[in-house]
Amino acid sequence: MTQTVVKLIDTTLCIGCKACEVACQEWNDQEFTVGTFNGTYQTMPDLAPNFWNLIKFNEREVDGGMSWLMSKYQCMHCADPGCLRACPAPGAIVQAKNGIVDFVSENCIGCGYCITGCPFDVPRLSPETKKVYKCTLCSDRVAVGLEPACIKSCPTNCLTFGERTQMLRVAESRADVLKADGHAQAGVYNPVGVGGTNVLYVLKDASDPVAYGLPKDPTIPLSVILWKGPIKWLGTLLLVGGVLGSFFHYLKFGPKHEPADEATDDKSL
Amino acid sequence: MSRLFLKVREMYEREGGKSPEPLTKMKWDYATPHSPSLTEVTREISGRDLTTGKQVTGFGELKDDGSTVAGCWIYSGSYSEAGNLMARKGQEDPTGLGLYPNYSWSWPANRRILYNRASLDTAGKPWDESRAPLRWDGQRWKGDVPDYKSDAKPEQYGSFTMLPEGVARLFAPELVEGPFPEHYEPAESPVENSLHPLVSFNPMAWVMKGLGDQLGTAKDFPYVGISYRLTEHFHYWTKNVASSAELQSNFFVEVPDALAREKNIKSGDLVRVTSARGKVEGPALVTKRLRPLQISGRTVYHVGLPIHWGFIGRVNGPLVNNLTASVYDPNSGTPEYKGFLVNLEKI
Repeated sequence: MTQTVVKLIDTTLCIGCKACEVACQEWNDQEFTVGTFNGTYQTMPDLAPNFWNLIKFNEREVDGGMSWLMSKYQCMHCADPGCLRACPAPGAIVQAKNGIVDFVSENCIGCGYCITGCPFDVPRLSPETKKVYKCTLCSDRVAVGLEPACIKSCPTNCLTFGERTQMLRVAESRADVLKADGHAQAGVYNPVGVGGTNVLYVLKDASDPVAYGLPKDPTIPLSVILWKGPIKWLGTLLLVGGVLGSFFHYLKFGPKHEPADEATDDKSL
Repeated sequence: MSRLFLKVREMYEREGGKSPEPLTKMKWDYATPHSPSLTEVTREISGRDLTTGKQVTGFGELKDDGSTVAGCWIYSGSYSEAGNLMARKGQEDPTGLGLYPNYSWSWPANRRILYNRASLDTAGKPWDESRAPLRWDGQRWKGDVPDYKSDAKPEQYGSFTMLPEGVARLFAPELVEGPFPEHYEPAESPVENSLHPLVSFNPMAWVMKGLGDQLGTAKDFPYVGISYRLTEHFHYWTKNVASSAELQSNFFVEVPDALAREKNIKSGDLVRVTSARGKVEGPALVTKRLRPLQISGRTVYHVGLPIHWGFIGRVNGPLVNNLTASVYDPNSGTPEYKGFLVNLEKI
C-alpha cells in the first residue's frame, strides 16, 4: 500500500535562512528573479507562478520582547483539495495515492477555478503561459524515494518529511515538549475543514494560526462544492433535457421552414 | 576550491616551478578528491593519532612529535571516535543553566562557558549559589567542562589559565590608548561621555581628515546610524549571486516604530538618510525590533542601514558607506561603522 507522505514544519526551529526558497527554485528550474520589497525581510510579498515557497516573517510582540513568528507558505496538499474539486479540466489536477496534489500543466486550461477553490490562496496563474502553478511537494523526487528539495536544504530540522501517522506523532510530541516548556497553547496545525493537510505545522500558539499567516478554520468555498456537486448534476440534467426536447420537437413538428421571400435574394447572385 | 588546487598542482607537476613541494607533496587522500566531503574535512580538523589511526578525544592528546595531526586545536575532539559531536541534539541540561552539554559541541573541549572557574572564589565557593556552572566536590570539578585542570584543587591555580599570572588583567600595556580599560563615545555621538565629558572620544583613534570626512553633531543629525549585514548576503559580493540577489534584492532603511510615527513614515515610504558626509535614499522598513534607548534622560533612536548594495551587480542600491565616518579603533583598526550620526526625512 502506498503511504501518505507529510511535510512537517516546526515553526519554532525556523531561522529564516531561506535555504528552502533557493532549493525550491533550483530543483524546479525556476529562474532567479529580483525580489520585491514589501516592508519586511521577506523575499517577496506573495507567492508567484514561478515562486512556490515563501518564508513569511511575521513580527510580533511576545511577552514584552520581539519575536519572528516564522511561517513557510506553500501548497498544503489537502486531503480534500478545493482546487481539485473546482477544476473542470480532466487530468489537470491529480491527487496521488501518496497524498500529493499535483498540477499537470499539459491538461491545464488556465481557467483559474482552482484559485477560487483553494482555501489557502496558493495556486498562481501565469500571464505568460496561461497556466496555473504551485508547489508539487517535489512529486518527482518523492516518486524515487527522495525527500522534497526544501526538506533536504533545511539546516535546522525545522522541515522534516515522512509517513503521515508517524509524522503526526512527531508533531504532537514536539507540541508536548513546547507545552512542557511553558507554551500552553502549543499545538499542531492540521485543519479538519479540508480533511487535514499533508503539510503540518507545529505552532507555539496554535490558538492563533492567523498570526502565522495561516487561516484559522479553512474550508472549501460553498460555491465550489456546489458547482462540482448538485449544480453540475443540475446543469447536466438541463443540458440533456434540452437536447432531448429539441429531438422530440423535431419528431413532432419537423424542420423549421424559411420564409418564402428569401427566393428573391437568390437572383442577385 | 579543491578543483582549483588540483589544477594548480597538476600545472606544477607538469611545468615545475620554484619550491613546488608544499603543493606537490600535500596529502589529499579524500574519497572524492575534487570535492571532499564535510565529514572527511571535519574529522581531519578534529585530529587523529597517526600511530593508532584513531580520532583524538581532545587537544590534550595532540603531540608535537609528528605522531598526531589536527586542523585547529580549539576544534580538536569535535569529531571523536564516538562520531560527529557537532551533530548531537541532546536536550539534557543537568546544571539547569541552559548549558545543554550534549547539544552540538562548543570549542574548546565542549566547554560552554569560557573562564568558568571565575564563577567561584579562591576556595571554590560559587559567587552565586543559584547560578554556578561549576562546582568542586572535593575530588573533581562538576558541571560544565572546567576551564581549569579537572582534578586540581581550587587553590592550586588562578582562574585565567591562559595567562602566566593566572589572574585577569586590568593593566594591559599593549594598548595604545593606555593600560586601563576606558569607555569612549563614538566620534559622533548624540550624548557626551558621562565619565569625562571633556575627552568624550578616544584621543588615540585614527581619524581620516580627507575631503568628505567631516564629523557632524547631534544638532543637525539627531539619530544614531548603524550599518549591518543581512543573513542572505556577504558584504558586497553576493549581489552578483543569482539566489542571494533574489532573496534580498532591495536596499531599505529600518526605522523604529516610535520614530516612524513621529515622522509619519510607513513601511515602504521613501526616506532619505543624511550624515555630515553623504546621503542614501530608500524605502523604510518600520519595526518594533529597533527599540529607543533612554540615555542621560534623552530618547535616542537608531536608524538601521543594511550594507549590501552598490552600483554594479544583479541588484543595485545606495552605498551606506557614503554615510559612515572614517574613524578607526587605534588597536584593531576596526572602522566605527556601528555608531554615527544621521538625520532621517520622509521624501
